[in-house]
Amino acid sequence: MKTFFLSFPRLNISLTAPDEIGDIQSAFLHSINPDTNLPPRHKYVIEPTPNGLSLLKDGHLMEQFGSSLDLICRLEEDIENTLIRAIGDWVGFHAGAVVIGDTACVIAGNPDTGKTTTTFNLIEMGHIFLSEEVTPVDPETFLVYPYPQVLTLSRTYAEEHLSLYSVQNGELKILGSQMARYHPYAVGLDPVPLKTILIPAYDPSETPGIEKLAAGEVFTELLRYCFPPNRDDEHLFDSVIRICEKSEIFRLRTNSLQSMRQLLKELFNLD
Amino acid sequence: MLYKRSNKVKIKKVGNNTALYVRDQKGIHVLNETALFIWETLRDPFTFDELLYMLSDVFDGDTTEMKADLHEILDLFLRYDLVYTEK
Repeated sequence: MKTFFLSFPRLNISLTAPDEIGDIQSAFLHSINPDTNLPPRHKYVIEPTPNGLSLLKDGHLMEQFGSSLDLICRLEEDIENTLIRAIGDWVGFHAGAVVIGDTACVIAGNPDTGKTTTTFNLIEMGHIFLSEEVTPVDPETFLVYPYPQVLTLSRTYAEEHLSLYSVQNGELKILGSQMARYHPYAVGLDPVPLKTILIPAYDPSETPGIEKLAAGEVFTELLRYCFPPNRDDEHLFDSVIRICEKSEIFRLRTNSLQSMRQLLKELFNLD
Repeated sequence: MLYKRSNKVKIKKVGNNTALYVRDQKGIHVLNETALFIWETLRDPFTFDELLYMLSDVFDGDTTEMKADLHEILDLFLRYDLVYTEK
């Protein structure tokens, strides 16, 4: 058995797993902290069983799994939920984030609108990966904190992408009939000042375009992309108002993979 | 029947817009131009007809549509406890 110490914003955990499960190390690679002196808030243990693997959290059995991939997905979900509680009075956006220049771009939105594919494309266009699924933002300092988890894409999207472009800045693996996972090679490990919020909107019947949004018109929509607050609602409202007023916010209307790449180049003045 | 502002409402500025928030309602409402005018007018209590008169004095447009808009906005204000009525 091997124990990893994983560091997330305001959250340290330990994870003990059998040596032979290499996927575990790869899934949490960018969060592994060599400093083993940090006291973990939670201790996860993966144990082999006759039927597969069992996952324990703080000594309690959470679930049993037939495959390591199912276990990793469940573990990622539990860490996300734990992180959302651990970030306290920060805002947790359901969003990805990348570093563009020396500022952060947060990609927020409803499920299946293109958050993960936008994050993926920005990484492949040369930007540094910062976070996926949960993006913690401190509303006092406007710093965006890293949560660099593996990106999960649909197999269909991954195959379409591979037919058009090569994958250069990470490893894209197709797993089974539905899923692909993308492990970026490089990640930002430090918090980065927030500058841009992108809200992707994918609709194959729409004309692609970029729409700049004012704080007042996007505020209630952005609230829907926040995880429930750990403090009161009013603190969340005030925090999101400050974030809206501080950021440049754009809706990215795309109708294809190519249009997304084109609009991202246009928006960020890339070659 | 007079429409009166609830004293539970908190007002927040969001960029150039105004949002209203009532603690018990777990929601926040960004006002459009017409709703903001009505909200600001309701510093003092007014009847529907008085509000309609002031609205038509400030905004151009069809009176029937304006009446419908005013109904809709006051219904929303009532539903979210932003205003209450008093006979």
